[in-house]
Amino acid sequence: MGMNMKKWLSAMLIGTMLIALIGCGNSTVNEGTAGGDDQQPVEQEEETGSVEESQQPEGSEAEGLSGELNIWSSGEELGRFVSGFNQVYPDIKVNITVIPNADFLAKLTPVMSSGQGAPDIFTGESDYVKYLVESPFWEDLRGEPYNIEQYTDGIWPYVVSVGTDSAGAIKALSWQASPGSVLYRRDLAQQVFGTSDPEAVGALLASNDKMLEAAATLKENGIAMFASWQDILNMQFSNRQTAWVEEDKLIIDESMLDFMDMAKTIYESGYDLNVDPWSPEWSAAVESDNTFCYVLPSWGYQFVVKPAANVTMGQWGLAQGPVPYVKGGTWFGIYKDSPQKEAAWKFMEYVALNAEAQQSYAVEYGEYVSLKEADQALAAAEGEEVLGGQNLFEFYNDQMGKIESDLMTPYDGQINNAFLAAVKVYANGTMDKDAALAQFKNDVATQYPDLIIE
Amino acid sequence: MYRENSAKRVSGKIGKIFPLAFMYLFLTLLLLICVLPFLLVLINSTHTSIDIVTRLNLTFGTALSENYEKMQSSVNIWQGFGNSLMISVPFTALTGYFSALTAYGFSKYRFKGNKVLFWVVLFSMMLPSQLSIIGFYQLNLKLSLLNSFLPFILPGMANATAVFFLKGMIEQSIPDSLIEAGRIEGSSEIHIFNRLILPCIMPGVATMCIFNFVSSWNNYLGPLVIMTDNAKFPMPVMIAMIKGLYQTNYGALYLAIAISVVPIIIVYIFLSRYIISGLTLGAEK
Amino acid sequence: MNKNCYGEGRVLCLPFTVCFISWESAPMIQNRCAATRGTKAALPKIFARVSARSALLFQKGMGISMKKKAFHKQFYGYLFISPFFIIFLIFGLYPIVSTALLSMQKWDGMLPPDFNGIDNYARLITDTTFFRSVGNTIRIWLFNFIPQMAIALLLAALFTFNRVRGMILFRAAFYMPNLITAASVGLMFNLLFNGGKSAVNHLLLMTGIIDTPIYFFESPFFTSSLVSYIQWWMWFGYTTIIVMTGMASIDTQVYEAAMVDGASKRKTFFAITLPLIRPTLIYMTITSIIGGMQIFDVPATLTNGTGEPQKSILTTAMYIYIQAFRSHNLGYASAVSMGLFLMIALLSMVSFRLLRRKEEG
Repeated sequence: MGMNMKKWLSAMLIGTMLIALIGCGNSTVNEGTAGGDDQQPVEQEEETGSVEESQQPEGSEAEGLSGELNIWSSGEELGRFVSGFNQVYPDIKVNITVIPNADFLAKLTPVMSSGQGAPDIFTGESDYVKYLVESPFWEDLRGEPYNIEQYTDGIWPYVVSVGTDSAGAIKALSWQASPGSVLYRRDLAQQVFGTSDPEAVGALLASNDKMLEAAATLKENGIAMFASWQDILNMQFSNRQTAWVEEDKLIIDESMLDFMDMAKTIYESGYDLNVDPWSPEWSAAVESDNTFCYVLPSWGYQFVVKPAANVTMGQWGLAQGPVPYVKGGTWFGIYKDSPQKEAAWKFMEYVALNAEAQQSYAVEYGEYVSLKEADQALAAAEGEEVLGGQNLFEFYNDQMGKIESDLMTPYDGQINNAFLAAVKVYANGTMDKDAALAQFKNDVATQYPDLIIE
Repeated sequence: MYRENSAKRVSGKIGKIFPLAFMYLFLTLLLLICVLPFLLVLINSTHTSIDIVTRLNLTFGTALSENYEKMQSSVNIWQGFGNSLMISVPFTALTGYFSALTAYGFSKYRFKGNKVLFWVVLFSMMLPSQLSIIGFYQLNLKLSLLNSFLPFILPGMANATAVFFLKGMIEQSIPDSLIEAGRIEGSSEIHIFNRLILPCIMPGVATMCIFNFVSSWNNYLGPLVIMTDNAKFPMPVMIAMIKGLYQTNYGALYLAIAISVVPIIIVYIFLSRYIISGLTLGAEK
Repeated sequence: MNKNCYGEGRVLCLPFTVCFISWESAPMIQNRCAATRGTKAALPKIFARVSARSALLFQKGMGISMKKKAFHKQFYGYLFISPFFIIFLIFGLYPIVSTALLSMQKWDGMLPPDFNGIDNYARLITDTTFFRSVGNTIRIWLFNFIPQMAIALLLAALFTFNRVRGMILFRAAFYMPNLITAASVGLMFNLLFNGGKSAVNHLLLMTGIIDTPIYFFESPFFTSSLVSYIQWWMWFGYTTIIVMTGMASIDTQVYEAAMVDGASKRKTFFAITLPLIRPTLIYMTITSIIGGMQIFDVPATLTNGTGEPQKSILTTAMYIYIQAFRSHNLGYASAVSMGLFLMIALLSMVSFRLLRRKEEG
């Protein structure tokens, strides 16, 4: 060993210490900025600015509004609006942090309780958006300077309804809406039913019983009707008369009980691929020749069918099932103590209320958006190649028109999971219906001990 | 020479238990089980997401640059890489030295509360981290350490697992007489530790360094919850950010995993060869 | 220089600790360390030398009085463990105390909490899901720990007592599964097993082992076993390395003696090796209990995160996470945490006692 080794060692040592030093140095420098020191002047700027701004008509140019917005999002979609937003407001820097949805609440919870380090804007997934809407963390958008009520007529009512709390405060909006559809294969429909027309196929699927009949026919031709029966649950939630919880009481709607039997029939008769949604085989069914349809809302087209359809390009169609439905979606609101409310509102306005911005977003990403005006303009444009020329905006506009309000509760995420688990064990024969329901009630009671369960 | 012979005799006797061919077959099988998934990760990092979920890929694909762009458009993975290094390297250094020191204090000095304190060390590992993360957040908020690397570096000084391991090692292999000899030679206590004890237990320290480097490198929930500054996130948080909401970007995800594993493999190769090989009886020659 | 001395290896790992050691003394250290390197053959020589010198120094009157020595021992003992406890008091204790306090509150984690005494604990002892999750966790741990120890002992014995060509390569490869984040591992295995056309089904159908695809994740038994297998797969290499360090510290002279007495190899292993590496076994068992009882990532990512099918892989850590961040019962989740904490402490102490007693007896 000797000299070489020693030299080498000292080099490593210096390297290690250097790294450590940089690490510590950096962190102290940034602490100051993250702590909010530099947010102080901006805040004041905002407040004086807001008076002037609010008196000006909508759509005015940026009045030198500047600042730095921190946004937490459970998906990447909000980030897609940033470059467009910066063309209008070049001095507002937007930092988007994408937090995996599975851990979104774990990250949000301590920040909300301490009130420090909170983002200016954060999103809420459909599973828990109602919980956040009912909590006091999002700004009520009815007051100054937002005056949201003057715009709500332009938004699909369902989107506003989800963002409205039980006292009527409007707290969250969305750039998207997620109306439902049955995404079916035109070629297989032609082959088995003699028609590929969305209306005609829709008529064949007009009720749960008719769906099962169609499934039996398809089965005779060696085709599985559904990729997964679990997808149908998306639709069945809109088939209910009542929400899961009303006046702190768990209510199991009749339609949910019916669905349990439907799922069992599908499972036992082999009408689906017997896979979980998002599993490899489920995704691969887009290009298969033995799977008829996915029961998925608009995002299902955007994320599942469109990117995978090569061989089946042009062979897909959108039809309505037994009921029009909506499922999923992401909402977002302004944190109540944000020092940047004005800038935050400008961003929100751009994403949720600017029809032009939404329109170009919808064209680029194939997503259905929340403003009626944008969707209606797009309905007049050309249809989708994947859908054989069918215009998805035209189809979904029609669906949205049929859905006024929502049946969502703050408890939905967990109750839906528990119900799905109960349907599974009933469908595959592990438990009888009573036992499955008892398990469901027990699960709900475990998660929400304050609910009344009979 | 004496040692060499005895080792051979021992190995010669016990070696007969396992017919040679069977042993290598068994080892190779285990090797395949362990390495195949890595191959899968590498292969998948060159395929598109659709390909990954729809079929079993056994050859390399052509989507590497596409995946790289996708990955970089979601996060700056190299920044995460740097952040992870800045956390894991000092963390590992602190773990190595202070665990050894603590273990030495526990095993070679008799003082009041020795046993009780040692159990406190153990108990500190028993609280599930999923929830203590809330307390950890509040603490770092009070200390103004959110967005700092320190909350993930300093705990290296209080690493109970490593202390536990090294305590056993010191008790097993450091005779008291060695320390006494050092004392009588006039070395101070800390000198004895630094110059006599630490080098002797270095195989154990280095072993703990590898394992703790890996666990620090893969730490996810802590940094995710504690840090709010995008530019500070370490690798695992960035990898999780690559996953889309409705659709997982598998190609980019696998590429990121592949990138994140490389430095640990380097650290491992770097440390392990020297550390434990010397300990085996006549295995290497 | 003696090639067998692993001095080089020791030096190489020093970037991490080098700052505390003065390097002028390196050769001396190497000599002394021979005593502890596992091959204690050289031991008597060194001790002869060292103790002769010590005796000499002692006679010169440089020894410390007994009383002072005792104080010394106390003082340095506390001094050496104090950095650990300072950091522990700052970063370790606060979360524990706060969890304990939270467990007596009704809190969603965001809005102001309400103190509710022992309500959460009353709920805990009647919560069947909690006990089920504990059962799952213990089952998953046991089915992973037992084969893990068995394989690790076997491999460590192989590597220690045999000339295995490519031993370094094998050992490195066995440790590799531990390098990937557990969450990614869960996802990977999901892709391998999920559905009738999954990679594994492909393989089984192709080789004619089965005629119809198996829906693996419909079986609670299979899914739970798979989690155990993944845990085994991720950790047996680690355990092997640890056990090897334990075996390496056994004095070869002990084996010599055994062989002179005519003990069989098998008997030597069970009668000599195993008892002598007991401290290593205790370490492995207790850390494995502590880690295994907190298992989260693999079961959370292998299926849909709720412990499907039929809660078979719902572990207690998952249950805590779900209660805290899905159902907004942070106070109750804290009580569950304390419950698990107690469980782990109990299991650790019992196994510690069991292993220790054997040693004494």
